[in-house]
Amino acid sequence: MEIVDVNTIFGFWPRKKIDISLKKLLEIMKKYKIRSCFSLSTKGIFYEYEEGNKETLEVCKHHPEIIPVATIDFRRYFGKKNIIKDLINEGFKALRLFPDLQAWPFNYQPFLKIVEEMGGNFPLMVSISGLGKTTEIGKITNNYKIPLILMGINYGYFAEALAVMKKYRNVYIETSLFDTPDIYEIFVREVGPERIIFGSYSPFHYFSSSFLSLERAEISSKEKQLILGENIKRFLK
Amino acid sequence: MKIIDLHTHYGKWFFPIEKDSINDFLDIMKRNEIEISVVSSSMAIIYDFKEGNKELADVLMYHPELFGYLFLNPNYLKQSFKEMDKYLQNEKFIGLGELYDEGYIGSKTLNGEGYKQILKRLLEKFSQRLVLFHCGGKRGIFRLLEVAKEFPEINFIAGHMGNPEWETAARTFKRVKNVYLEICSSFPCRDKIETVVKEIGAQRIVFGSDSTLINPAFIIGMVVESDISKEEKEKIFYSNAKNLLSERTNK
Repeated sequence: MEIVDVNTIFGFWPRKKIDISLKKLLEIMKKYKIRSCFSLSTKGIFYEYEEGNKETLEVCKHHPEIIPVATIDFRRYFGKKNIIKDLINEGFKALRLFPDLQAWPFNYQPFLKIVEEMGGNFPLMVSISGLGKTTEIGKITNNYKIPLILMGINYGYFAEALAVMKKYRNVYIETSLFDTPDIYEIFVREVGPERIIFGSYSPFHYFSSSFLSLERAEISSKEKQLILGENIKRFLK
Repeated sequence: MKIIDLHTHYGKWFFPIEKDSINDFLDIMKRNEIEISVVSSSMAIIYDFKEGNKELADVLMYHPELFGYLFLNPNYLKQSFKEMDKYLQNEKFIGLGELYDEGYIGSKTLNGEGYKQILKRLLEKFSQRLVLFHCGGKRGIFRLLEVAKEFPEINFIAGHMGNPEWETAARTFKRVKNVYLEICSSFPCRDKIETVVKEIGAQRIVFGSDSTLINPAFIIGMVVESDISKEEKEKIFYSNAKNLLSERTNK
């Protein structure tokens, strides 16, 4: 089965001693036969997003199996115009935001300004932390018809994610923290397999945690195939 | 590779989990090739400990692959003593757990007077010498350290191994031989297993999943992928737990 991993990073992790180097990411891709992955440099998360984005593009130039994801740190954002259009022209395939690590809220003008520029087939990937956040971001992105991929949702947030996905068709979910015993079965039944997208958060997380959970889920092979690689392809057209 | 799961729960959670019957529990074990599970009641932990312990006792007797931890609530000390008298003569209850520190039991802590009285009574009246403790963060680690030193006859399992402070847990308990680290967590951070194996040794690490809250496959993946030897994986998945359970049987 072809694997596309929508949630990977590379670079340096300052908050704990964990090897998230590009070398490690490539090793994991080879070992687990991951055909391609969406990725970005952590320099853009922790240090400065424009430098981080440049680094991401540079790496992707040499490794076509890595699909470039841009990021913006809204604590530093200056209000530059047409930023989304520029990112798309540079070759980025998605925008990923880290309000969980950067501690900015969704009700925050620098973020809302960018939302107005988004739309079409350029997905927004957002890490969620805190009850109510999924509801907020679902509502905001639905107003602008932005494809939203919820990242890093675990058992504490599944109920909210299910309700938001049922209300808003533009919302998808990534699986790196699909950690309860029957969560694939529940999401497949409640929102359909087409809106579930495989991610591992490698190399920061062990790839096998999310992969084994999906492999052993009691859903059909066809549904696993959609989740593992087919669903994300619609955003690459 | 054979697996013994030393950290599981039977019952419902306030999260969208449907597989909460005993048949579901056994099916999850089978799907993940788990030979034995040691279970505590989720109802006992998050609501009424007496009702939860009874519900667990009722299912344990029918399933040879299951053993139980008795949960006690230090807010109800006299009733906790009665629960000990009621259940700890039963061979299926092999210890106490998953004992909490704050959270579900309010402000009570593992190193508080309530739990210490419970542990003293365990030593005086019963043969069980195993305690699973929900060990989260530095506060959990240092409270367990105090109690483990005060009760060296008891083997303590540090559930979640102090997550997210697993390095601190491994360093802290390196010379405290009656503490074992149990690995489960919702955050399968890379290098976690390698780090604790290097610091404390694989012989002091045991497998737990937190099932039915957490999918055992999610935790199995951490060990399978870790860069440690096959022998070390076998110790974590199986033989360390087997030894702990045998100690209980031999007493």
